[in-house]
Amino acid sequence: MLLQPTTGWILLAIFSVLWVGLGFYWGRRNKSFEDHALAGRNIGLALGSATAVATWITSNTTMLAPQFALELGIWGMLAYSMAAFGLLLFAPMAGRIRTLMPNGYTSGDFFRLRYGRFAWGIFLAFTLFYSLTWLVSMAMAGGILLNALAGIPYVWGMSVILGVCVLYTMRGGLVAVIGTDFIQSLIILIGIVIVGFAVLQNVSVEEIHTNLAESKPMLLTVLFPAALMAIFNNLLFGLGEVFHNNVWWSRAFAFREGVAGKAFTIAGLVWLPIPIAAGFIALASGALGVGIPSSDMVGPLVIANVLGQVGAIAVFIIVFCSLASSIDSLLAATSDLITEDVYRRLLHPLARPETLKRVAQWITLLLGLGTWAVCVPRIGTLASVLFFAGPLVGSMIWPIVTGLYWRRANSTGAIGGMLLGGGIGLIAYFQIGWYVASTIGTAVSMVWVLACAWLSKTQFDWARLREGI
Amino acid sequence: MSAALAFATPASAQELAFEAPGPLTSDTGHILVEWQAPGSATLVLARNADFSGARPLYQGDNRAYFISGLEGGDYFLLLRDEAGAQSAPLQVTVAHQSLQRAIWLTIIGAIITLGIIATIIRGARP
Repeated sequence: MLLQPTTGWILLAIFSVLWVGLGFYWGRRNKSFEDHALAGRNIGLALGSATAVATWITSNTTMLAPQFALELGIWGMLAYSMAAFGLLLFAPMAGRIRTLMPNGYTSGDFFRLRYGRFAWGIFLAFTLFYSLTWLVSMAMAGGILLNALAGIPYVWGMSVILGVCVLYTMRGGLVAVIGTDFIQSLIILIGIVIVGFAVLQNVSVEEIHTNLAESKPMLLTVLFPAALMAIFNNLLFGLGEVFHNNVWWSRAFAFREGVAGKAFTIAGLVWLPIPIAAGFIALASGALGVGIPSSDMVGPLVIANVLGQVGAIAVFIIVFCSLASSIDSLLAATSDLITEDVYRRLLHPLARPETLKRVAQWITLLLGLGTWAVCVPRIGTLASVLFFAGPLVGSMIWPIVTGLYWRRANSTGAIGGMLLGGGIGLIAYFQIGWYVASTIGTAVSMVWVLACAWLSKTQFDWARLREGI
Repeated sequence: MSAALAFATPASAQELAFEAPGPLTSDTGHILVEWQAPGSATLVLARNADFSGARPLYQGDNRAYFISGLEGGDYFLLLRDEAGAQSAPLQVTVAHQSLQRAIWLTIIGAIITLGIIATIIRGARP
């Protein structure tokens, strides 16, 4: 435990009041579903870049990136930073999405209109599994980390973080999510820079290198098998996460015209060094003489060792901001997906905009309650549940990319790509390990999708994407 | 007789023990070692079963230590407490995954990634 529980509770209270207050304030002008879900499609470059960075900085970035470095060394650190390519490559795609679907709401709209209802159903199953496991893993991480950092009981910490995010997302919608993301991203970036410099004040790069060469030589080895496999696995996992998920599509639809490409490029470039800085902290643990009892706690332990009580407070705030910036985005994007793709498209096609907004708010609340119920028993670890989704999201990369750019991409390719890629990737997950599952799932999906496109004679009419909304 | 001897052993020596019942294996070079100890303990690591050239990894009150970055081969771990009592040694065998498979999967990953980049860049051209 790095902080006294009283200090932890005070910090938790201050930031909870801040986020809920801002969420209510920013959400007061939301009238329709479009205001609530897409912030009126009018987000500018600064807010757009910040929300993309903040959403992509999850507790996994601040906790799992050091864990990657401690377990897989230099390659592990770089492998984690490869997830930035998800944002960088989504930049041109976001522009294409806006052009093809100027009135679109969700990534589900794209699958339904481009590949038909069966492919849409598979997509919904995969994306909801991924989004809900991400949401559950973040909420669980919140409870576990607040407990480890400040001794706040797991259920209370998890409940407060989740409750705060549900409240301001329900009330403020995407505009509140993006506004709080802006502040959260600034806090996280400043915190990580301070921590990086503080570590370098205590130990030199030469000392870190000498310690690693003597006691953890594989962490510096170029031909480290598990680390090599993790590089592209993590990159493809990151691409799959960003390309398919409504968290990112909703932002592409919400950004002002011409902003999306620039915003995602800036966000990718800003995000790229963060896992490297966070990973570097872990590599310094040996030289600093910090004993690590659990690999997922290496970041907080090293920071507290270097910065003492101030460092512990910084970790607490960074962790809280990282968690909130991801949980709120997931709640908003998933509730919008269910509202648009299930409630409106399947159940109530003629629902009015005000009704849809109310439905989205109720779904946010239900998602929060459901997540809370799953999290209370505290089953699983920080990352294991989420990695399970790696082959599923990897298998959606090629259906999405070819679906956006190739007229010949077709439903048979998309359906087979998702089912075969996801299935065989999961087998690889259990037979070999998490660090190959996304690569294998994406490879299988790619072969199938390309073969189907190559053999196809169909030419998709892009106007169907515009007209079907 | 043996029961009487066990009873005569100091309590600290009885409780100083690794949680793992037998040898551990790893295919990634990292492993979590957990133990029981009545108080502070020192964890040492050696490449030889006779613990020649052993080096201390950790000293303190924690009951677990995460070891990473190990090269392939056999390692031996031992716990010592402040009174000089020792645990039974724990063997750790590291056999890294196939390098050939790792290189093939890296090449496959690179090809997929280049394919995705090419498709997007080609498609994004005006």
